[in-house]
Amino acid sequence: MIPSDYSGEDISRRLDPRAKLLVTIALIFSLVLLPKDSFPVYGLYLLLIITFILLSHLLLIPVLKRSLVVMPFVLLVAVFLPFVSEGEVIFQRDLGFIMIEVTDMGLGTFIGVLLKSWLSVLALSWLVMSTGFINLVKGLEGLKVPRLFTTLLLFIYRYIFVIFDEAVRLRQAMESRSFGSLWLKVKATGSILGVLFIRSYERGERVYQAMLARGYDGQLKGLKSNEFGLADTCFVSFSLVGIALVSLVSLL
Amino acid sequence: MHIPDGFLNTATVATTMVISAGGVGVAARMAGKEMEEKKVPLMGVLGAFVFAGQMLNFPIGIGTSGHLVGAALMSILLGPWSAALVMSLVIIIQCFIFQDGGLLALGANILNMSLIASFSSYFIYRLSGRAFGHLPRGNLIGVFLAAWSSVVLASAACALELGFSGVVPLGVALPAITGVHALIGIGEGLITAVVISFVRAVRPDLIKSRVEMVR
Repeated sequence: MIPSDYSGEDISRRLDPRAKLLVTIALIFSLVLLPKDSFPVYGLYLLLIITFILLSHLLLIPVLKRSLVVMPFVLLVAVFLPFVSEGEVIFQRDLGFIMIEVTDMGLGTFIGVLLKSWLSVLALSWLVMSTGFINLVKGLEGLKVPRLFTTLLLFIYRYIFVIFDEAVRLRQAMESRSFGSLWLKVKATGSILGVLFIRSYERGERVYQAMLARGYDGQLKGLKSNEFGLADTCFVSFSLVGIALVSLVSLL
Repeated sequence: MHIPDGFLNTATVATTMVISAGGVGVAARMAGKEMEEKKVPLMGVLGAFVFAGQMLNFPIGIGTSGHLVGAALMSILLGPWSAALVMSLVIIIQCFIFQDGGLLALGANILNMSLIASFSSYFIYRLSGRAFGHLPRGNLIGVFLAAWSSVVLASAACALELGFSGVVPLGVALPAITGVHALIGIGEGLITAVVISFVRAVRPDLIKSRVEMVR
């Protein structure tokens, strides 16, 4: 269920995660600033992100697939946009209890927002798939995110898989024994979450004690961070110029 | 309720980022006190618990399923500051691993689902403790209300942010989004109440807010 870490050796691995983080933030930020109806510019953004993906020696199809996974949820947020905006009515239907009206501006906002979200998700997918979560956290630390957060992020990431396996086992046990009314199911789900919480808490305490026994003093020794080299500087500058050019097109 | 990138305008992104960064920073400092020692590993494992708990779908009838958000649960079990810290980190990881919720929308998502959800549920839990008493049954009503309102208030904040960003008229978004989540919140409330009553039966010492009550 959780996409596994990408572990390959290639040009993007050699790029500093900070460089890729900066470029991704800049790219999404410029997308946010973009007027919603500048459709041709979205195509240029797509080209730009595809260039990043190909530069990283990632296969295009898996990245595209991954970027689509979350889109149903985005659609869920956006689904009512066409119906609620002002503008000229282009579609109308009476459903008996409610009148549905789709306006031209509403439809434009809907498509624009969906494209913006998808491109942002695609950029984020590229970032994560070409960097890997652990390197990404290293990058965050390099960008002066406090040590406590990065340590906790790594801890959570480390134990997601452990706790999730435990949760799946508990649910299997529940499903093979419990059936019946909805209330029973709610109670059973609540109980396994309770068991899961207690087991997680106790596991956390054991981990803490094990670390104490090995000399843990509340400070994790730092991850070795990468050098921000010439290649990174080049990558960041070229990308920023690219993003600036693409957003300038929208002003034309 | 995860807001993707592309929905919020620059002003909303900036405002929510500043509020959340400050809030999470304070939460990190206060959580250290709440958890007695620097129990970073414990917080980490509990973050993983929230993550796993959110992936356990339970059926809510008519072919749909829901899942726990967990802010109220963590807030009652660990205290609001620790809950806010853990929930914020979970939201950040969800953004990076699943691309669920946008990168620049992180500020808004953390504000809604972590800060607002944790603190509203904590205060409502404490208030209803006064109203219904601390006996098991009255206490569970408080848990239900806390969890329900955490979902509703978080969704209201989400609607306000979308409204201020101009993607939807506020007059439509607020009642629509809050209304849907008033229903979703019932599931959250019931499950949270069952989990709390289970933990109270098995390991009552783990409930932080209960320890405060006894004192």
